[in-house]
Amino acid sequence: MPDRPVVSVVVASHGRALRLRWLLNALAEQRFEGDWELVVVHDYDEATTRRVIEAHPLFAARRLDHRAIEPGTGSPALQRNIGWRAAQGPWIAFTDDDCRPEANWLGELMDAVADDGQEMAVQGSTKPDPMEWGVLSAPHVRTLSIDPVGPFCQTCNMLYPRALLERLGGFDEVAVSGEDVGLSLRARAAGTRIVAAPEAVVYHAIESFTLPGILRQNLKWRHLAYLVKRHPEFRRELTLRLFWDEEHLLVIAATLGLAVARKRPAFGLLALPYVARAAARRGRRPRQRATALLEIPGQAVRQLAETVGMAIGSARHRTALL
Amino acid sequence: MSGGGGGLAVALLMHDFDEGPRSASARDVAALARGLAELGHRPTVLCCGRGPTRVSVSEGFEVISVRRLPEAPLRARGFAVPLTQAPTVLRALRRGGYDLAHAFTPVDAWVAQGSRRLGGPPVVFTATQPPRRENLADRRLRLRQVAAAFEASDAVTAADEAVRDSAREWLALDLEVAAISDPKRFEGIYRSCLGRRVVRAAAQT
Repeated sequence: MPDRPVVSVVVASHGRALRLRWLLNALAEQRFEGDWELVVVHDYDEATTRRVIEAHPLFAARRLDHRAIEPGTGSPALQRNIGWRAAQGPWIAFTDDDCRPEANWLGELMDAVADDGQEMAVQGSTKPDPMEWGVLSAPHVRTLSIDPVGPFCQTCNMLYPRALLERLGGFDEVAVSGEDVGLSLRARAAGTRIVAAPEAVVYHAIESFTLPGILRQNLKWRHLAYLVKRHPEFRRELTLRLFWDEEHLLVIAATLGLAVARKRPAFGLLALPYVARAAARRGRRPRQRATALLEIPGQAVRQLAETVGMAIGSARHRTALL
Repeated sequence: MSGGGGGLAVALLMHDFDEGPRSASARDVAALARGLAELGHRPTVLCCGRGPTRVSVSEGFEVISVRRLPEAPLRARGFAVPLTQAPTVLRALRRGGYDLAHAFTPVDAWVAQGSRRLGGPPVVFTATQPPRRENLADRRLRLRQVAAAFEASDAVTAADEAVRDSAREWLALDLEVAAISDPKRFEGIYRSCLGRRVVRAAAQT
């Protein structure tokens, strides 16, 4: 490993060995001229570790280190904390195992670091991967599109000073989800300026799910109530300081309106804002609108399920979030 | 099941074998089929096409082309096509009494593995196209098909060094190179697969 890396890239990986391999390939293409290292924290078995990680050219070049944890004991927060604590660099760049950084990613992140004495963190841009755009036709997809600086500071593309992570204790390992948001909120509260590096681009996987699959995938969002309970200032980012997503407000209004519409038909109008927004989800061309309209039932089920999940989380953490 | 020295009934799966002018890979599969027939085996090419299911015999081997439905709606929804032939190919594999299925595309291997789960033959997969980042997750189900083909087949080979090198880079797999048109080589691979299956079956009883 480099003796004095300028920056350490930390990746937490679980259940995506193949995508991790693709990330390693992208990191091997980095054009950053300074010394850098990569620390991967994972829970793969020995055979997969040897094949995917230790057989990679970055490992042979002594630029890649890894830490294996027991399967079933990890979480994104825990694994990232293990990673940055094992890293040597004064700057820690986070990305995820389902991402593909551009070749100038690390360089652009580091170029955004200003030597003005003020503590700072850097957020890059995240875009749905053009190599996977074909998947966007699916009704239920998971991807990310982030223009920095956003309110969430997801760790798919963030750069933090190690000293700040040490002072803040890293990621909150109690948080099941939103641990990256929580870290950025604590950083801001500590006076850290978060600056944008829009040219530091990471492409995010586009994964499609069936309706049951996306419902299972989104179950974890019920734990966001813990984040809001710990950081009530975050409510300024929420719709009406209550709804995590504006669509949750619209789908609740639509559902209530349709439920009452039998007896009071005028209440059916409450569904219009939701339908109008949902119909424009795929674009304004007639075929796109038609597809979006056909998808409304599935989308509504998903959004209602998310809302119910958040309500359950609200009860558990004794704070209102829908 | 013929795990010993008798002729093997081998299903060679290449969905686009008979659609349009034959590709280089399809010509190699045809050469493999002829070679297997000369060695005393019973090869059958399983492919698909738009017309009704038809069976033809030429060049010493049987070609079964099963019906493929229009794929445009699936393609519009982002799926990696073809897919509509899957149920028919799966049924043909289960009913054909094959000792082994040898697939040449990820989707064919994925379908053959579906048959294997239902008691069908073991699956050999020969990758004929280099896996690259651009074509590993570009459509719905593609990654699942690729992962299944390369990681869950009973034996996997690369058609040439370019495929082998690409599989090492993008799938972290070290594959044996076996030219498709080498029937003797594949005869050994087939018997090895069948031998392992007999051992597994014996261990379970």
